[in-house]
Amino acid sequence: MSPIELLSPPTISALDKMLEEYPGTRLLAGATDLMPLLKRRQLPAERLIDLQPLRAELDFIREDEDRLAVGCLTTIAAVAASERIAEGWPLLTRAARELGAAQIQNMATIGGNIANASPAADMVPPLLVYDARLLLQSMRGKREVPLGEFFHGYKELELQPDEWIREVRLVEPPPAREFYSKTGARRAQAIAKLSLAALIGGPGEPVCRVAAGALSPFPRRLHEFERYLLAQVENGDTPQERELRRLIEAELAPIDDIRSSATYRLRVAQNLLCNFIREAGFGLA
Amino acid sequence: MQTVAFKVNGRAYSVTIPPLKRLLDVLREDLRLTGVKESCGEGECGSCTVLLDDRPVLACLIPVIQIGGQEVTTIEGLRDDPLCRELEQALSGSGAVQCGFCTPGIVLTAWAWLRAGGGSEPEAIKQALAGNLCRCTGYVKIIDGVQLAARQWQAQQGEERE
Repeated sequence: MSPIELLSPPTISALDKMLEEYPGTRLLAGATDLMPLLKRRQLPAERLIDLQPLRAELDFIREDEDRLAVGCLTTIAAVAASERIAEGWPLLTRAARELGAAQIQNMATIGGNIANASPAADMVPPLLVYDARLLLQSMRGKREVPLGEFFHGYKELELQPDEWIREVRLVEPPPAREFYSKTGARRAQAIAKLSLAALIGGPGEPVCRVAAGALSPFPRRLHEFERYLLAQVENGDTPQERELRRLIEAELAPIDDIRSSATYRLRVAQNLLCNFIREAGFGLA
Repeated sequence: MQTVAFKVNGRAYSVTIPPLKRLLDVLREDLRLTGVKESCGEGECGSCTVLLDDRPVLACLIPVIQIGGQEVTTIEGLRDDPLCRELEQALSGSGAVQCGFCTPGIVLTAWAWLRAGGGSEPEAIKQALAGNLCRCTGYVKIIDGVQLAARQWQAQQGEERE
């Protein structure tokens, strides 16, 4: 059997202490990403920390004043079933329903989906367009970090070795049309070849927030694309489709891998994003 | 080694075990419940589906330590359950069982879905069973079987209400 030691913190402060003593220890939340690695002996770890003993404290969807807080151990199924999330942040509902199948949704957690830092993490593009913030915690205290500043490179995170993601925080987005598209090998239970989430509104009080998954080393917003579209709309100019396509290519770095090719990923992303803009009511030249 | 206490099919167990041992292996090797099957072992295929507090999960992805205090149901636990019987008859009657390796997982997933109010529309059934792969049947007969069971179950529920 596995020689890896498993630590089970009885309290949140015990967890903080364990991470202080053993910085960089991987945490088990829903375990859906780590168990296959364990089986293939691809998890180089002396020990793991199991978060499930803290489920009573870390599995919640709660309204705090003007924001929604989602605990790190909240399952994808609970996100998919939340009426409050469907009403205020419907792209999260969409993404949660398309993440794996029912069995995975019942186990996988929102904190794990973020911390595992897959470029194809399904929940991350919607969270990015909603400007989600993460509450990080360690023995040194708590701090809030915008999700958009959380990923530095492929599996390189803002998270310090003694820190963990306690909750995801959301504020109501501005009124806009929501767009979500996940492209996979089959409609159900597929890891994304690419995924796109967008909030696009206007022309009065224009909004443009676009995020892409599986098209770069980590899921990211397309800020240049957003700035260009907003500037054109504010100046009363028609956005140029050629320029939008160029900006998408400039900002993303898709790769060839087992699931798809860079060329396919880029072309589909360009087509879908231009469709979103048209469907949102902007003419393209 | 750690001691984990949980229930399987209504019976309480307390096992002293490596905490990262997969629930799948504990069920098959330690408890001899071999209705739960391993196919891919990586969370892709649904053969090892069991119910955790009546919701379908994958026993190959669960370290046994994580089920402490919870209730697991395997196909053996539904032997005398009326909805499970309905599903078994409808699936075998529809020709939805060939090698049978995926069948326990499919029955458990469909059972949990119908119990939670799932309907009999083929599209909804396909969605509900998206995580259960079958390499024999081509799925059409499985969808037919679950649809048949769903209709009979709904009719029975209606009669009971009347």
